[in-house]
Order: sequence, then C-alpha cells, then structure tokens
Amino acid sequence: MHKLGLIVIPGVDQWPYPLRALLFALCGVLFALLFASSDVFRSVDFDLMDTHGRMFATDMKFDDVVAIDVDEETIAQLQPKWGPWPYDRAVYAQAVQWLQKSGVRAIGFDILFAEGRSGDDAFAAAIDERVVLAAAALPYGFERDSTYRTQLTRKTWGGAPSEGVYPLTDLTLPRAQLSTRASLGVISVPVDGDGIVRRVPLVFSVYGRLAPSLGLALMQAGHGVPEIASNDGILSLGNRSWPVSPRAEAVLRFPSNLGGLRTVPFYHVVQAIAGEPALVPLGESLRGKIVLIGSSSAALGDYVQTPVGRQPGVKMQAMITQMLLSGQTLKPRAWAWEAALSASALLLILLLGHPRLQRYAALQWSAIPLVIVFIGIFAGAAISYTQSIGLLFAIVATVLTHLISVLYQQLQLYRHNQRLETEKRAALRADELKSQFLSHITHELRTPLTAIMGFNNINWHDSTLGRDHRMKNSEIVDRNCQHMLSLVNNLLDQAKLNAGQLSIQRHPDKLRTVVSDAIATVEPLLSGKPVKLRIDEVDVPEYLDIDAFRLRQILLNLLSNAIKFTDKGLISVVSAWHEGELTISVIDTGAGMPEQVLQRLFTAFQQADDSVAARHGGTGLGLTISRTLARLMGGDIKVHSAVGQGTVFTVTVAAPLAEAESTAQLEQTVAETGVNPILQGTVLLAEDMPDTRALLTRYLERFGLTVLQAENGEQAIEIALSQRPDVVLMDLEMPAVAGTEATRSLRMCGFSAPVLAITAYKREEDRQRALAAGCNDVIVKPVTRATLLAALSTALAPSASLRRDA
Amino acid sequence: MTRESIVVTVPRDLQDLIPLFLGQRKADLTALSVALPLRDFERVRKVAHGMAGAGASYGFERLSELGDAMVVAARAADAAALARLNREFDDFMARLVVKYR
Repeated sequence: MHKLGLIVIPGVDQWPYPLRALLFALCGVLFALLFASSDVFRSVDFDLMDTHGRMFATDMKFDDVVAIDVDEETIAQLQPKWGPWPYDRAVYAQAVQWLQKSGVRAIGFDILFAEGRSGDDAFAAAIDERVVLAAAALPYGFERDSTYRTQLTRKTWGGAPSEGVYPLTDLTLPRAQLSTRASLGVISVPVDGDGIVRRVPLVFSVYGRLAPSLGLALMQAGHGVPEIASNDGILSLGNRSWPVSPRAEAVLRFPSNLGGLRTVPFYHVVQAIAGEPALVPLGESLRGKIVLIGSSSAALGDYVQTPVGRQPGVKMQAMITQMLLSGQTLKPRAWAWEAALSASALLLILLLGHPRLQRYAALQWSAIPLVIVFIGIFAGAAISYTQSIGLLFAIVATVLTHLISVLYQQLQLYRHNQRLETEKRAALRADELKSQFLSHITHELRTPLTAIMGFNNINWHDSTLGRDHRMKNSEIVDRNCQHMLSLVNNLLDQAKLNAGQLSIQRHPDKLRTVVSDAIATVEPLLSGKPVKLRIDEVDVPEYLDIDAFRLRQILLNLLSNAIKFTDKGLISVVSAWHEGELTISVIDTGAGMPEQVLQRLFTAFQQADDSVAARHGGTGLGLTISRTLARLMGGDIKVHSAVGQGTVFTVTVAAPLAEAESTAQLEQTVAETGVNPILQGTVLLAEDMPDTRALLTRYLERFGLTVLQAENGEQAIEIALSQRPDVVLMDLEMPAVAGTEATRSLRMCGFSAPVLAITAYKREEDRQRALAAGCNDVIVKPVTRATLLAALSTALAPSASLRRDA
Repeated sequence: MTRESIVVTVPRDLQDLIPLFLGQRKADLTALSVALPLRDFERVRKVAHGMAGAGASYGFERLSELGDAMVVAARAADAAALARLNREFDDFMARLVVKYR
C-alpha cells in the first residue's frame, strides 16, 4: 500500500506542511484552470456573479430619465387616428415639438428611422440638437455609397484608434434628412456568452470613425455636446467618468429597484398634445429630463436579457442612460483582483487544513462553507469598491485543493492503519514464533539435561558400577553436554547476528582442512547408517582468504542436516572455485523437501514441520545462521530439493586468493616459532598468580602481541600510564591494589584504551562491579585460547588491526 | 577412596609451563595446611580463588571445581567442608599424572 504514496510524489510525507500545502494548492489551481475553459464553468461563473451582484445591489434614483413607451395600449389607442404601426412620422414631429416645449433636456429615439415615410418632412423640421436618433450595428458589412460615408463622417468623429473602442462591422444610420441636426446614438449592446447583457460599450468604431452609444449621445445632447475623453481605463464626459474595459465597455451595476424607472405610454403624450386636461401636468413633469421613446410592444419592440430579467430595448436604453448618469458602473473584471481572491481563499483553506487543526472535526467539516462565505464577503467588498469580480474560480480552486488535501490525509491514514495492521500481525507472528521457540528450546535443553542428570546420578550413587561402565556413562554425559553447548552457541550466534555484532575474520586458510575437519566432526553422527561421505574439489587453490571458523560452522550445519535426513546412500561435499568465488555444495540422497517447506526453510525458529523437531531435534536456527553468515561473507545459500530425490544446498562465499608470498611467510613463521601471529599491538597483563600470568603470556605472544606484565594493581597503573598499551588484561583480585581500583584510577587519569577484566567469579554482580569501574568487558576464568582471542579481537579492532589488514 | 592415578592431558605446547603450575598448587597445599587450623578463612578464600582461576585454564578442571567449592565454603566459614575439600585436593595432587598431546 506504500506504493500509493508514489501517486503523489515520493517522499511528500516528509515535506514540511507549507511545502505540501503549496503542492496541494498548485494541483487545485491546475484542475480549476482545466475546468475554467469549459462552457459549464463560464455559465456558472456568470450566474454566480449575477446572484452575488443582486445580493449586493443597492437602490438607484431614476431622477433623470423617463421612458416613453409605444406599448400595446398605445397601439390600441392610436389605431383610430394614426392607423397601425409604423405611424406617420408627423406624430413624432408633434411629440418632439411638445417635448421641446415642455423643456426636456434631451430626446432619444430607440426607433430606427432608416427608411423614408410620410411625415418625414415635418419630423425633420421638428428635430433639433437635443434629439438623438438610433443607429444600429449590423453583423456584416455593405457596399456603402458616398452619401452614407458623408452622413457617417458628419455624424461621427475622429479617426478611430485600432484599439480602445468597440469595433462594429457596419452601422445602419437613420435617414440623412432626419439627422441633419440630430445626433446619432448606437443602440446595439453586446451580450455575454450566456446571451445576457452585463456591459455596454460607450464608444464604437465603425469604418474608421467613432460613434457614441445612445446613452452617451443623450448625455452629450443634454449637456451641449461636451468632449469625450479617454485616459488609462477611464472614459469621461464633462464632469462624469466611468471605468471601462480596453474596448471602452462599462460594466453595468444593476440596481435593486428597476421598477423605479418612470415609463409613460406614448398615447399619453399624444393625448397631452391634443389638450387632454388630465394630462396637462405631464409636460411639467418631464422638464429637465432625458426622455427615451421606443416600444415595449411584443410585436414591435426588441428585448434583451439582463441579470435582472428580460427588458424591452427602450427601458434598457433608459436604464443604461440613468446608470451612466448615476455612476452605477463597475470596474471591469481584472485578473489581479481575482488572483488575490483565489490566493487569500486558498491560504485560508490551507490554514484550516493545517495538521494541528485536523483534530477539530467541526472546523474541518465547516472549512468549505467558511471559505465560501469568505469569498462572498471578499467579492462583496470588491463590488462596494465598484469592482466587478468572478467568484467561481476561487471557489473551485479552493474546494479542489481542500479535496486533494483531505484525500491525501485519508490516504495517509489508510497507509498508517495498514502499517499498524502489518506491524501488529508481524508482532503477533513473532510473539507466536518466540513462544513456540521457547517451548521448543526448553524441551531441547531439557532432553540432554535429563540425560546428564540421570547418568551422573547413576555414576554418583551406584557404587556397584565398574570403571568401564562409569566411563561409558560419562561419555554419554559428555556428549549431551556437547549437544547442549552447541544449542547454546547457536542461540548466542543468532543473538549476535540479530544485534549485528558478529563479524567475519578472514585469514589465509586451506579449504581442504576446513572440509575434512567438518566431515570428521559429523562422521560419528552416521551411527552405523549405510551412508557414505565423499569430498570432491574442482580448481580450488590451496590457500584462500576465508573465515575458516564460520565456514566450518556452515558446513557442520549443512552436513548434520544432510545426515539427519539421509538414511542411506551418499552425501557429497563438492567445492569449486572461480575468480574469487568459492562454491561448496552439500548433496544428499535423502528424503528431500516439498516446495512449501523450501519457502520457509531459512526463517528463524522454523523447521520443516513440528514432527521434524520432534524426530530430529535442533533449534530451527542453524540454516538462518548459516545463510546470514554466508551473506556476511559476500555470498548466499541456495537450496534445490525434490521429495524422494534428495537435496542440494549450495553455499557461495567470496574467497579471494590468498597471496602466495605472504601465505608462505606466515606458514614459515608459524613453523619456526610456533606463533600464530593473528593480532598485533601491545597488551599489559596484570595478574598476581605467576602460573596464570605465564599461561596467558604464552597465549598472548602466540597471538602476535607484545606483552607487558604487572604483578599487582599498583604496577599495572604505573606501566599502563607510562607505556600506553593498546589493551589491558586486568585480574580483578590482586594484592596491594585490586583490579577494580586500578581500573578506576586509570580511567580517572584519562587512560582510554580497552581494559578487559579477568576473574574467576562468575556472579553477575562481580561483572557489573567491573564494568562500573571502567572495564570494557569481563573474561571469566578458565581462560582458554579461544575466549582470550575473541575478547582481544573485539577490543583491539579499533586501535590495532588484525595483522592481515596491517 | 581408591589410589588409582588421575590422568590429565595437556597440550604439548604448554609442557614447559606445567612445572610452574604444579609448583604453585603445592604452594597452595602448604598455604592451606597453615591457614585452615588457624581458621583464616580470608587467606583460604584467596588461595582457593587463585586455584580456581588457574586450574581449568591449564586444563585441570577438577582443580577449578575444588577451588570454587573452597571459595564458597570459606565465605561461609564452613571449616568441615573446607577440611573435606582440602583432603580431596591433596588426594588429587597425589594421584595426578600429566600427559601431553
């Protein structure tokens, strides 16, 4: 399950949280960017913006603009006198004159007078500079004649820049006759991807000329045509200014009280002109206003979709004009604001997901709602600052980041649980194995112990036994002692291997001797079985750099196993050497093993099955130890076996060719002096008993060490401090100053070389006292060559190397 | 107790050290013969301790066993046991034959 971690990034678990959080945020943003290019995203983004805009909408005063609507009622009312739509333009002429007389500031027509019609002369005569006629964008170009070009040139201005205004392909103009004195205003408004009007261009470019929108033109007409100026995203007219997009679009901030727009049916104007007494105040109420004339009739009018619902063109134009006048526009969307929103939302969600806060479940559950509320408030603040802002990206990026973070946490938790489960199973299994092993080993130890005690008792109490019988019993006791010793040795080796304390000591040695020694040792185990032992060698040099002791241990193990399981036939030991690698195969014609046994053959404390343990004894450690030793020697042990066909154990170890010259030299030295120089350095031997001192000196010199002698603790201190030996062997019980005191004094004087205590006391407290005094190890008498060599090899390892390495 | 000889086999390369070892054991016997009647158990303990340490190191396990037993008895001031052990020690030394291999 650990592999799951690699799906993210290897080692991500070790990263500090801020770095990991950054990775989550990057992933979140990446996925959000992918989503952002979809239509669904755009549609939802607009919806969210509109909803949010409505939530933060404010009321607006409709003081300046009035819509005059040719509505269904007007069509019905005017039918008797003016016939059906389109009307004789004389009616517009009358209306314009009446409105002019009433003192309106400007009159805008949301009606396109592109074609000639009866009444045009009167209408043209009535139009003055306060009137703005509609011009409409066409999505395709025409072959326009010079009359059109002249009219366009006269009614528009400038050389349009290539950027900074909204480009139109073509513009339908009102009849030239009508626009002699009137201004033009473009009534077209672009819709967003979802067909909704949210922004309105204030200035358009067409055929290289600049034309104002209807609203802007009405403001110009009402204020005596002041100059339009554009500077750094701000378009201004007189003392009013609007933030605009690079295409001169103002983003509309729709008010909450659209119903506040005053709308007058056109027939009221007609009735007022006719002198209808009830409508006398109408003229007065329109003084100083900008009026927009158009139709909301289902048959005649045009409609647009806005965030606040479907609106007829005339009302939309009136609202746009009023919004521009009231400054109800927003700064166009800017990536910097949206990046700031996303960044602060991500920061918040990552802070809430901090490992230290993960234990507060309620906080984790409410993290997303909290951040969404934060985004809403942030965007609301932006709108109050007249900034249009998209929310969806921030929400999506935040939610995705949070999801990734939670997913990661869950994954981590899952892996943690898996690990715990595995560890628990392993611990239970180990416990089970150890219990099995303990009961097994207890049994194993008890068996020889029973024999030892039994035969010893017989020898002790039975006075009738002859010498031969006693000797035989003693041999049985001895054999059982040897068996117990090997069991204990195996256990100790395993413990050492587990602690990593067992090291390989290579010396030039004869493989032949190692193999024949091993064979000689196991031969008695055959105990009359019809099994032959054979040794074969292929290209094995005489001297190899090997750890003969450990190699012999491996061979003894494999051979004793082979003998256990072979009742008749042959056991061969075949050795071969090739380019520094020694291969020894122990081949038997025994019972063999099935596949499932082979699989757990090298597992500690496991035997082929319990019946094997019962029948053949053993600790189940031998093969594990052997394999570990082989691996320590740079090789391995492999096994091939088939039931009924025998077994082949193959040991490979690194065995460099021992240098001929040094081997010869060493052989010569040993032959001449009887010395086996395997260590080097100086050793101080502090021992009061002359015979023990002489014996130990003999051993030490044979190891190749220079020996200094002291007869008591006082001398030992003096010699140690003056001669600085590599190691001190300190008898603990000496006259004058005892070994423990001498060691303590040496340590206080800063003497740092290893001090090995020698004592005949076997009690643990004596050992602890020696270690507390500053001894590195304790050798318990009787001191044999082997125990002395083992202790000194370990103690001398750091300071004085083995001679072969020197 | 029969007067059969007790054979101890010692590695040949230690042959030159054996006289020193046996001389030391005879010195031990003398020391014990003085210390035991005086009930100088500390002295006995020291002699026995030395004997226990050297014995098995040279291959004379029985001497180490006797030494260990004497150390225990000396600590317990068990004069009777010490007397018995000293007789065994004396007997061992009298019957000892060292062989080299």
